[in-house]
Amino acid sequence: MELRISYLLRYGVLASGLFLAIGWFWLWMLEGNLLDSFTSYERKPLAQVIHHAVETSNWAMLISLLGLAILVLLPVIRVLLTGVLFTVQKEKILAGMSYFVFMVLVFSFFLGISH
Amino acid sequence: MLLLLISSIGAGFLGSLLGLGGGLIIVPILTLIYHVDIRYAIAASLISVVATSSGAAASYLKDSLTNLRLAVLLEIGTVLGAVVGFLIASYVDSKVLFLLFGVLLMFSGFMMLRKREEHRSSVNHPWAEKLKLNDVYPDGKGNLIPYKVEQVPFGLIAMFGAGILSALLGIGSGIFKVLAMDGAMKLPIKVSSATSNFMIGVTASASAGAYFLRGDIVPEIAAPVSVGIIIGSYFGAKIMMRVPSQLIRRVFVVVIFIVSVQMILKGWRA
Repeated sequence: MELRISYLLRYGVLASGLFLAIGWFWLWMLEGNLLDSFTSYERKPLAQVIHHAVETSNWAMLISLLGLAILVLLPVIRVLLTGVLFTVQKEKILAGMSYFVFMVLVFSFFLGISH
Repeated sequence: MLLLLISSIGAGFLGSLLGLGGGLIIVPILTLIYHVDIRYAIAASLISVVATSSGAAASYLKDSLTNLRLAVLLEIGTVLGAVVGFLIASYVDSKVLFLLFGVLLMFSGFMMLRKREEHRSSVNHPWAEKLKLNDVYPDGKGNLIPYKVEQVPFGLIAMFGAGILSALLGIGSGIFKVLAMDGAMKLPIKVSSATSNFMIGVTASASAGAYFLRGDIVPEIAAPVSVGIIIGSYFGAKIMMRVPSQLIRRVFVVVIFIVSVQMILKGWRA
């Protein structure tokens, strides 16, 4: 079963990679070379970016963001599934540890919103 | 931007060839060559680390080299460290990030030169005994060799430190993980490498999620970098066996030193 979790991960990466590739290429076609806008740092919360993309119907951006979101979530899902795996195997301590890691991961996401 | 994709493929290729994370290569490329602000570079690098680790997790498990139980235990250390690292990062000046990165890179260069001896422990730390962390691994010749695990608390603390560095600098900290597992916990090197690679994705995602929601992971940079590194490391892993690694390592160590000096200088002068 551990192996199946990892295969899930691999396909997840491929799927997100596909989204990313499509989204990025599309962005490139739409907006050209944007790297110059990133030479200095500017705080722009994701919520704002999404909001703006939805308002301007910027599908390219939304698809890219979806790809990134999938990517970021994959290890989190893996950890959760590992916890389930250990629970099934009746390994309480290891299951507890996996769930703890899972909770820290979820918590870390929220940090991004407030900080 | 196409150039960025190509450079990322190169970075992924080299990284997997040399056993280095893509992060250590891509952050200098992004900052020194493409002049991207280091915070965006770090965030983009982190997500590419997540990508490579998740993509390859299946092969690490398949080899029966990864110690899943140990990985779960150590992940507690790394994710807590990553959270702390993320929180610190906002207060740390970019200059310091460059300096730290440069020093770390130089350190990695030294590590690459170091001789690796195969060793095994026959002593289990009490925690390892309790959690049954000791295991066996295939030695490639058809034998299953048992090994035990020492210094578990120290390993956890080391992982905490590795997690901080990961979040701060946008790397997977594989080097520190392997150092701790190999040097302190006395795991066989193949097991350390495989387990470290397995854990890296989780470590990176602990801060990647936060960076993402903060808006620091921008698709314009992160997309070509991630896609490029995935492609590159795939090919790197494939040809890894056929290439005379010694020569490449030596050349690359020189490059690493040059780049690390540049990063340090950038931090010093700014």
